[in-house]
Amino acid sequence: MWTKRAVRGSSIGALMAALVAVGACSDTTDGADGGVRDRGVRDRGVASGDAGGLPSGLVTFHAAGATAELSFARSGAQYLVVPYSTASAQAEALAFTVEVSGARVDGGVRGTALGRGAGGLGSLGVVGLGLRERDPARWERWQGRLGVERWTRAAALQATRRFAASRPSGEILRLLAGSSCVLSSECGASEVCAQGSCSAQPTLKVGAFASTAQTITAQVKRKGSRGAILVETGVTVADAALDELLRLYDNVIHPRDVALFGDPALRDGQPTRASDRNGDGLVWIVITPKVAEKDDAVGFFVASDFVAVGEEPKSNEADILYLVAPSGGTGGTGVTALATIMAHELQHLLGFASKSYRAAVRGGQPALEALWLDEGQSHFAEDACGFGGENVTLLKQELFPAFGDTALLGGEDTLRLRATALLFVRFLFEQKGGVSYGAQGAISDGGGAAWLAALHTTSQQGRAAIEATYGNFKSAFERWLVAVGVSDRGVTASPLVTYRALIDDAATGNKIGTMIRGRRRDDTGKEVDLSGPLEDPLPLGSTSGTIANATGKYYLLSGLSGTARVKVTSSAPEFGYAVITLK
Amino acid sequence: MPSIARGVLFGGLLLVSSACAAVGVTPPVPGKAVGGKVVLSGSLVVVRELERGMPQLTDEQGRRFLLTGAWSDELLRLHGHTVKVWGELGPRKLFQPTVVVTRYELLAVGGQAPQVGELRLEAEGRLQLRQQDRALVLEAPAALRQRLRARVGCKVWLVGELVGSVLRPSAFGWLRCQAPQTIDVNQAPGRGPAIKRKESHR
Repeated sequence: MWTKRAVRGSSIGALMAALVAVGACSDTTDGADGGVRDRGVRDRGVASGDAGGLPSGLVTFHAAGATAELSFARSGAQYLVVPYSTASAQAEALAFTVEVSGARVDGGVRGTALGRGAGGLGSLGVVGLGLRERDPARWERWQGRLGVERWTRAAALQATRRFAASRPSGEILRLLAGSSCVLSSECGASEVCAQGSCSAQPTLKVGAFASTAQTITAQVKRKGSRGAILVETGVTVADAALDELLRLYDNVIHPRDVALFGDPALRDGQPTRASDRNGDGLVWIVITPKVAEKDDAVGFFVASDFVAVGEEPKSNEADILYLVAPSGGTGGTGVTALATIMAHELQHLLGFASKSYRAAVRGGQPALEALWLDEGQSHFAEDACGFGGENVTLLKQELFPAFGDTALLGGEDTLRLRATALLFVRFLFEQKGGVSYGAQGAISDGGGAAWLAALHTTSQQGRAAIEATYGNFKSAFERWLVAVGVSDRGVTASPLVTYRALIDDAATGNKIGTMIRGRRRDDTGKEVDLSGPLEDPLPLGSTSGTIANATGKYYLLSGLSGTARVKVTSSAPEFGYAVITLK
Repeated sequence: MPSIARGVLFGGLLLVSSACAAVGVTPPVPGKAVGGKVVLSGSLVVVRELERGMPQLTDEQGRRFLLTGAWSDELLRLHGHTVKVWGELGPRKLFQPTVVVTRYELLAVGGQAPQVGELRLEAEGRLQLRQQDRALVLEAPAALRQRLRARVGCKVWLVGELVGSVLRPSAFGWLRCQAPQTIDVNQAPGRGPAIKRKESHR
């Protein structure tokens, strides 16, 4: 942070000259998320601006209808003008108008004010191509995944509707019944403890998702300290793939997801964790081709398995992740892809176990997480476990071309919603302190994991859960918009408004974190150039636009001389705009 | 014109679809109900359950109700809105009462009263919001007009300034379309070729 500011020291004078003279700036009051009050608006003392607040002169926030004056006295000055909405009410389009006046087009500078398309954005047509157009196979695979998760939600709700909060745990029931085992570690190397007895080939119910069978038998192929891999009888999986899946699950995915999101005791004073539905100490990873019978799925978590069989006959009363058999390649069913699925679905399992199942068992208020936040956490889990390559693609091809049309607070499960929720969760996580990864890949909490764990146990949902566990939503949202606008472009190194640098993950060999701009490898190994959300050039005169609720649109203003007066007007609720100084 | 007055007038127990809830679409068949009739007002949040999520209403007392029934598709598009629902108590789900919704009204969008109706494209390219007893002419800025035209034929809500029969909308959302809609998420004047992308509102 400070190193970069020192580098920029020579520009301080110019920056001061470029400071925005504010007309009716909104006087944002921050909550418990950092207490930043000095937005660097009225205080022109640059050096003092970073003391507990945002870098002086970096950004001003304005109410709709207010006028901001932007100085172009310094040649090459550039600003982002960002109309935004913090409204919770889902809307397809909120109308606004941006008026730019007072300045002159600087003939010597190639800028945005000459008109649309003059800002070096001639490739918009290419950038705007979505994943569906650029990679139809991957698009189809993702659509299948969305469909499968919709089904798992339905299955969960159907199965848990009659769940009895007072039901004793499976562990207690088995002890009362004289079971021969409780923990799978008490059984042989190729056995798990299934319904109180050690078994090398337990019978599992698959009627909740399979169309060709109600039950299967599955052989215990691998058993670790955190997971066991069971393969449907008759299905062949290469030993190397089994070894790798268990290694990744046992050493990377489960430890990291639990370190990030927590796994509280089901009951006070008892060792059983909320996620350990059958009390055997392991998550079962069941590999069966029957998974694909549900919308050509690759893997999922079936929350109805947490429900007592008396109330949900298709329940296994066990904590299970289901996967298809891994293929030998690096495609959609390769080991790495399945590891990504496991990290994603384990977050759903942990979240359901803590927020719904545990709360019900303890007589509390079970809460189903808001869709946008739950999916944001699961995509975050992929990345934080070291398997975030597909998210790189989602950002570039789905979200960034349509950032301003993508509501963060929405109820429709789309790839864009997931991608923007991932960005938001990652930003808040880092603002809370994030985590650090040790030389062997172990996670040490810096505050971010505690926040995620609080999300899993609060009875609040969505925006209210953010308010309950993080702080003022509006303030967090505004700062996030700034971070998306300025990260990775050398404008500021302030950690208050930038994403952290990517982490080299010793455990997976991949990068962890969020890159808004720059080159990053996706899940296929291809280097992808990320350039952030589209920035339309802002011409002199009046421009009308729309955004969804709970998002913002980035306009680039440059190529002017003199002083520009900018005004964004809108009568939509909770509407304002930010002016970010780029140069 | 929503809501409270109308709710009082009808006593809150009607199974008849309200004008605003039925405009432009075939009235859905109400879902199965098992309990007593209720009328509730509060804010909606789409929680992660059921297909495409599930609408949940939190009333003024902070009580949560999962909403089911044939209006669910529309309620799923009202995340964060204030609504009033009429219905019958259904089986408890996840220890929360459920309501099989037989009728609903959109009360407020960010504190503003919405206009609900079917979006029509009239002669001379004028946009119109057709309601049960009137039609409003829409005067929208260019960018919003472009978005609205992509939803012609849909049941929508709009908020804005209403002067006589002219509505100058500042925001809108869609609730139900007769046929699958495509929208151009990248549309902007002068941006070049439009990329049509089907939204996942299946």
